[in-house]
Amino acid sequence: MSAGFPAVIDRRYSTPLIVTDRSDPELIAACLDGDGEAWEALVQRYKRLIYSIPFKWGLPREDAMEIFQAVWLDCFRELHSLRDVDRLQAWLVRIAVRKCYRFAENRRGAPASVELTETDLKEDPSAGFVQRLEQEQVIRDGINKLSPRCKQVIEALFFEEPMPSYAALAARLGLSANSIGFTRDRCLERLGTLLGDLGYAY
Amino acid sequence: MSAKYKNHIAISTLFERARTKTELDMTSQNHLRECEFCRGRLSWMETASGLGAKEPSYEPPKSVMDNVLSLGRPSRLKQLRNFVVASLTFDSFKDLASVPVRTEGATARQMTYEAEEFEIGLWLRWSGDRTLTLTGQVLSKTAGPIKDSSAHVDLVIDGDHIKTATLSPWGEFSFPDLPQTRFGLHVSFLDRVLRIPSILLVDEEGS
Repeated sequence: MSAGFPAVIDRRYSTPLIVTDRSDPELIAACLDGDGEAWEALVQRYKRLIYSIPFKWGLPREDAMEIFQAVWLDCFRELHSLRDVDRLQAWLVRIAVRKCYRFAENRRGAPASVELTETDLKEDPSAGFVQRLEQEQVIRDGINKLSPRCKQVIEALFFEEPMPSYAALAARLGLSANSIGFTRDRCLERLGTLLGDLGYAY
Repeated sequence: MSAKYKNHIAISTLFERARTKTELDMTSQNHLRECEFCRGRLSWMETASGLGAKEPSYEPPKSVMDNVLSLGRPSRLKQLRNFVVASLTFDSFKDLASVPVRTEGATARQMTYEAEEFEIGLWLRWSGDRTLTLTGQVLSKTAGPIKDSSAHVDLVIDGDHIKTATLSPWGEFSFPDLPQTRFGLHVSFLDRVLRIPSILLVDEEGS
């Protein structure tokens, strides 16, 4: 264990992650070559993005579970054609949003629409919704590229409710209370730089 | 970093603003209005704060993840490797049909696609309410109907798998009540997938 690293790591927000720097097209190509780990890496990369969309659409958990599985089934079945897709993430979001639209219509008792086109989505007043999803995914990608300690700091600062006091966070990290401010700023700076590299747009 | 400003707003100040909605002092507010760099920082911190406490709840349940990850089994990936695009070899709207396929009052279209030793026959029938029914049959040219109890056909519209139909023991399938749109078919059986990339489902006589 490196000096200063906490003896106990709070793993509440740490999810099993296959860390890979392979791009989406590389992972898709590997899937088509029979590499099951590449498939898992793709799913891990986008799981929270896809699973969050039905909730943000106001749908219940059972719909979210069904939509999540349906999106990945579509992705799996379309892997051949997705080989040439530059932005798998945008494709996944579009399919998930369309399924949410259909599930929401079914819940309202209206006939399901299977004719929603990409143009419809672009003209949808919720286009900002999609941009927001993309921003959030960039932040997830950035956080996953942080060192374990910075990841822990950032997740505590942004994802814990209420936010832990700096004294509590310092104790959790095995740091002195005086140095937590420096560590926080360093991790925020590091994440900001990573987000810039990842093309975060606002 | 923008060269226009010597001193940007401290990252800790922007963080407190994004996370706890702390008011910025007047100097910082004026700076923020003109500084794209600081606005960018504040933007991502506000987005991260918006993810907030809900983010951990966006972790899919293990049972759901297991289902999705199981798609990556070698046998299924192998099926993807044998992914063949079928070619249109007959279209009653373009070629002379050997039997009458157009009847009074309703329009029907017959098509045949072929890939390797397999043949897919499609019949499209429009009903009065402008929806249509697609029926089909998948056959091996040499062995007849496909013998695979898990064989199925997916109807795909713009990458979205809308419906799935299983193949009968005679290789038949049916999709009723379809809208008029462009669609594709994926026929999965044994160790392969036959794909019909895109068919425009419109009543070319009536529309």
